[in-house]
Amino acid sequence: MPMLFGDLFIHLTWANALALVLLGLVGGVISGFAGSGAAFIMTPGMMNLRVPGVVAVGSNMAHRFGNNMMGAKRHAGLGNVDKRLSILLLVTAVIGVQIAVWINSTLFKMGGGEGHEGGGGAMSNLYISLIFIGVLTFVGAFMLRDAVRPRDSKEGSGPSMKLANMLSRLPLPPYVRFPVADVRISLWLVLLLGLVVGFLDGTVAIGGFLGVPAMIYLFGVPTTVATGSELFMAMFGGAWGAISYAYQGFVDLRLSCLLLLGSLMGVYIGAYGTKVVKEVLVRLVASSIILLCVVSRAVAVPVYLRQLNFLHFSEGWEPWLKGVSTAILFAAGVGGAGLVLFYVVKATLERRKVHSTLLVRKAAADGRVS
Amino acid sequence: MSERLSVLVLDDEPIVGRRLAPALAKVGCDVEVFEAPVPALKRIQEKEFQIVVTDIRMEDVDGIEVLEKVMALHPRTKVIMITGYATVEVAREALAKGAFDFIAKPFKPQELRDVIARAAESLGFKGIHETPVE
Amino acid sequence: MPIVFVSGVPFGGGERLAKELARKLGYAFLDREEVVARANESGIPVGKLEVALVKKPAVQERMVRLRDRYLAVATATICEKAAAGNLVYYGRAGHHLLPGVGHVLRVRVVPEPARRLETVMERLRLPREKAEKFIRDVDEDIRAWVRFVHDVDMEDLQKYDLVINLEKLSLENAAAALCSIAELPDFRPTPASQAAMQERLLRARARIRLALDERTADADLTVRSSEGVLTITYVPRQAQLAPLIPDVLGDLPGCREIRCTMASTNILWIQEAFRPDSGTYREVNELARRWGAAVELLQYRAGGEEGEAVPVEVAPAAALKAGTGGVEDDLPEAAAGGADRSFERTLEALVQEGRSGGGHTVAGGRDRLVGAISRSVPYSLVVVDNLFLDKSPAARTRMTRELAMFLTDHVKAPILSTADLSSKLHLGRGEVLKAFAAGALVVLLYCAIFLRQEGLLNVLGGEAHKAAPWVASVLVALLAPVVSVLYGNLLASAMKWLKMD
Repeated sequence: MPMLFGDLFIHLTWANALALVLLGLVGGVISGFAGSGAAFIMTPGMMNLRVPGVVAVGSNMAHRFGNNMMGAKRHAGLGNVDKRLSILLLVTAVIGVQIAVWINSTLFKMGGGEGHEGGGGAMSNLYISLIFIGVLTFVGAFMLRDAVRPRDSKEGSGPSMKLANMLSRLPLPPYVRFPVADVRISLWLVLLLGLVVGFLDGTVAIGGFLGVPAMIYLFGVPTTVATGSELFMAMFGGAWGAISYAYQGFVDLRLSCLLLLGSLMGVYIGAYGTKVVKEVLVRLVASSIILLCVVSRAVAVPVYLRQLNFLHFSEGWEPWLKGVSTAILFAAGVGGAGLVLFYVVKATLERRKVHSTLLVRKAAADGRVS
Repeated sequence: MSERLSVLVLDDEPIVGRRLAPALAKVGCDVEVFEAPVPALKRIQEKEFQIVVTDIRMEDVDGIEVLEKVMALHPRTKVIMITGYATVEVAREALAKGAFDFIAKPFKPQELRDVIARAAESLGFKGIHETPVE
Repeated sequence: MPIVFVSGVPFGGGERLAKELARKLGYAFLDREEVVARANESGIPVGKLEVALVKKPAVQERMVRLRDRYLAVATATICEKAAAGNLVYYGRAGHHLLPGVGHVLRVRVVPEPARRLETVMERLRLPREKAEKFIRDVDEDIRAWVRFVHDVDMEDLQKYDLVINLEKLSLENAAAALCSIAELPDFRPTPASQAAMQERLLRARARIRLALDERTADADLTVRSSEGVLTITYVPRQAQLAPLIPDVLGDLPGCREIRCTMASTNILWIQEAFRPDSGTYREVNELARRWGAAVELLQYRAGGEEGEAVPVEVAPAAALKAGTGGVEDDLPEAAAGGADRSFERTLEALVQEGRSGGGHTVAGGRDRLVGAISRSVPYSLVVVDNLFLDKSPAARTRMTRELAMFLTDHVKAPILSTADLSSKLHLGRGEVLKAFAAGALVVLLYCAIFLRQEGLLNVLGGEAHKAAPWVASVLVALLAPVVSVLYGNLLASAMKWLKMD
């Protein structure tokens, strides 16, 4: 398939345009459902549609920029944003994003595996895939453990606070008090988290996926505030990343727009899903999808390795590997989104059946006795 | 792992000692369990334990007194207080008198193991496990 | 006679003063220790909360649940003991347990520092330095406790009727002075204030039962009550619990009726007069239907001038007059909305719809209103309107607006007036036009992007990009948000039109 302008931009047909909208929809449903990070299916999905990794990340960031803006506005209205936390995180996040953009663009320009289908950016594709696999394996496994672990029923269902307590004892002054989140955290830890989140956001556009749990588990920030503050930060961080990538010439606005068509709609549906589905199930579905995405990406890694001449096998295998990778991703995404839709429909139907107010009248004769 | 940590557990509810002893033995502690303060104090006079875990509310001698006695005899010993009737005042009193840490009942053995691991670390003691070894 | 709440710090003389006062008045005495013991006995480990405050970990959802349970036990213990007769309670800030109950005398005891230090050194056998640190730490912990448990600053003197400084005043004389104050008519119970206490008790007992029964211990339930009617809401995913709730509650004394409502969220509707046939009712109900929300009614009648503390008698006096026609009980209803039963009818209509989140009535200053709004219920919307009915229309609008502003600081939910409400519900003509314009612009933009791909890509990454890379940045910075805002608005309007928001 011919590529436009060197190896940067794919040729759009009706088929792959539709695939992108669907990808957006699936990503949006899951993102609205799981709370954050539609990117974990969109970035590899685009790569499977032969978009070079860097362009996938860049376009994804541009698409999320607008999306985050709507989300942050909603959370700010609900008072879930700790502005001080967001701004401090942002300071280093911007640096992290910048480092990531620099590494990604440099790797892409270094090329590797020229002459192969899928662009000259085999090196950069490999790098993005590896980071993607690393981070998401960690996050997915963590979420899965959290979902499967039997809970002590008397202790309630709050997240574990062991790490947060340990960190709060570390002597790392100066400390900063965060009014909305109502926690006191060492400034250095906040700056470090910002850097890491920014870097991951810039590299694979999945920073929020680490930032939110990190704030909950490491800092002890309440879940809603963590989500709100992260979104608020991601809005600016994402904007910065998108603009930087655009400056480097790695944003395909067409892809961003197509993704947006599906994802905004998906977010509405997914968010509705969380209201009617049990929380354990939410985490179970989300972590399974993440882990399947990891498997899908892992299957694609040998292709890049071969393009870089690190690995040798017959060229005949390549389409197979790519096909399997795409199939797994497709199955994970459509399966997950389908499951969410199934539950939404089921819950809506069930709700009609349940008589929603149950009345128990008692003999008023005895009146009030204390 | 040659060295084992010597731990004395004192609680007037027999079930507590019975449940804690195996849980602590698993992570490399030598545990002696007492159900009454007086014999426990006698034992403490004979032997310097590295860690003393004591309940606060007990008949005749309360845990704060045990803490004071232990601190007077063996200042290096780490005393961990456990109680179902924790209040800010009691916790602060125990800490002011040199208790290493304070745990409110009900707690999971792992919580105590975590605190013991920290106490062992501050004693410069290696060879204690954070989690049980099967 | 009143319930006297004496609040103080440990070893500050407050407890001795409270005991002395109880002896002089011949009242029963209750202290925090007893409440905590009772909580522990019923299986609510308050110690976990106390230790958590000393160790200062991050606030956990589990602690919030524990807090609500402790509050329920404390309320129940105090109300039970106070119902049996007169009571002096010594604690940290116990008077916050009974907001809206008039016959409460709130006393803060300020210790004499030197004597306190000596007491600590002597009683705890601590050297001076350690005793000083102990006092500092304990005070800080207790302040944190009060902030966490009651969401107030302990040092805020507006929350007390009286502050007793023991620097000059001796314990005996302070007790004697308090005795005569406690007997003033200002603190005498009225039928209304007693009914308010009964209500608190019922609610607390219901909470405790639900918390201690293993079938409902883990559920996210909200409990509200009004005039003996308990309203429990549960989230849709716990629908299987609904039939169990009445079972678990069994026959609570004073409970006339149990209503269980399924709700994913809660809407609080504050007004002075409610009518089930009003447009606002239809709108609130419509919104609740779409959101799957329960609607809680709060009838609020502002008393006295704003900002000014309202004498406790105002509400009871009104209630006494209104209550003479009490229907079922000998006790007059708490400050019900005059002779017409429109409030009850509105509530009844909501019950029929299956969307009742309970309802109650408050009168008095703003603090009373805030005190009546439950902190443990997550509201997603507060509707405020039709207040200050005795004022001129202009003043009414201004005061309602000011009240809404005041509530914004205290309630974590968007606050809307009826006018905003209808715009939230219906697609106005302006909005339809806007949506069309947004839609047209989106189509235009997409057409422009996809019909001129070559040119666009050239700017984004081709030769033109090499010449001026910043053009691509500007393009992305402009286009990405513009498209998503336009498209987002279009979708939001569409969802509203489909009644799916």
